[in-house]
Amino acid sequence: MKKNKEFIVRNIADETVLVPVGETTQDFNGMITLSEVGAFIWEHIEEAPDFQSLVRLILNEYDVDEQTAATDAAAFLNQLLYMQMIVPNNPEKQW
Amino acid sequence: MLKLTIGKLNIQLNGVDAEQIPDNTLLFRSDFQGEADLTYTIRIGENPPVISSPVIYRAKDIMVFGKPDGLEARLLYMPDSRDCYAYYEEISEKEINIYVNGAYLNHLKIDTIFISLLALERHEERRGAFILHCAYMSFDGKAILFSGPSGIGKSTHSGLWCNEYPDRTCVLNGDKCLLTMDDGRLFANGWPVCGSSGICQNERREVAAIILLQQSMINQFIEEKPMRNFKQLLAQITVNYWNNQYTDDAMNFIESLLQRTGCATYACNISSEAVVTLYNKLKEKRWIC
Repeated sequence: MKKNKEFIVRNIADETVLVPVGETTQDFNGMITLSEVGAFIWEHIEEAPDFQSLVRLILNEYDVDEQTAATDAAAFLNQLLYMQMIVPNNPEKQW
Repeated sequence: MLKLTIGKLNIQLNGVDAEQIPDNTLLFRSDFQGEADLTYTIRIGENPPVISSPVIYRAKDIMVFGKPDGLEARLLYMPDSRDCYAYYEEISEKEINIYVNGAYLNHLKIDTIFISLLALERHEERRGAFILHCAYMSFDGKAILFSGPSGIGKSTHSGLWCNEYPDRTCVLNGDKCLLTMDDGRLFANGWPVCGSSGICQNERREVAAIILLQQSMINQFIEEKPMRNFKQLLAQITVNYWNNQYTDDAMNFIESLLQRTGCATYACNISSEAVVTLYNKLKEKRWIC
């Protein structure tokens, strides 16, 4: 997955927010507050070549079982895709 | 030629005289010596040049064009009719041409129309100054800023302070102030736009507290998490989100001010008690004396 670069990440007292900039602001108002795991996914999403790799990264970082990590990550990625905050870098690849 | 000093900017205006611009802008007339930071040449009724730069942002009242070297041009529209009333074009970082549609000459007397022509927020930002949507009140010589969305009660609440402490309080701007950081201290400065309040003064005060207002049946002083204060303030500060550097600078500024100045949410009703409760809380916090 590839991030939409038109968001600035800001950490304030251990919380993370994404603020839209550039053309994104024309159809996206407001800011998005990320949970700790959400911020981790946002930070590492471009490193993972596929969904399973992303889940492994989460499992390496957090004390959570694989099923929960995969379910939560999929829900979060769906939200990001819906809001066009990420785009598949290879649409034919399974994510 | 007119000279103004607004916030950190010494401004020279060519092509208009005092009778053509808003009274509130004239509060900022100046006799600064030396070269202006910005020189605007206002050309009324002249045709603007052909625009060849790409559009980088558009909204109902503005279209922004990105010129080489980080310069901008803007088409400005009347928010209700969508008629274009002016074209703003930066020739260099210091020289700006403004072409005003002759049909809208009389509209230059309107605060928001005239100040929008100058794109001042962009030039103030480059000097570390940001516009906050707030009622700007002086209390014992320090600024208390009541911020929040339109209609939340900023003017109403500051008016209650004037009733409760008439010898210690006055409102300096009912809708906006310009924030600057000088020697690590936060200051509120006058701004030539004041919304429907009609209260506009060119005065500067050190900021004692920023209060984010909410409406409530009961009066409650709430110290929110830093992130919530950050988001609330960012929503009330003028930011050109199409400009990444501006956006980043605005966020740095808010972080910095939150480290230096008291900021809290106050949920309140419209009463004398709401004022006294907040006054006691601000004293307890030692944000005011």
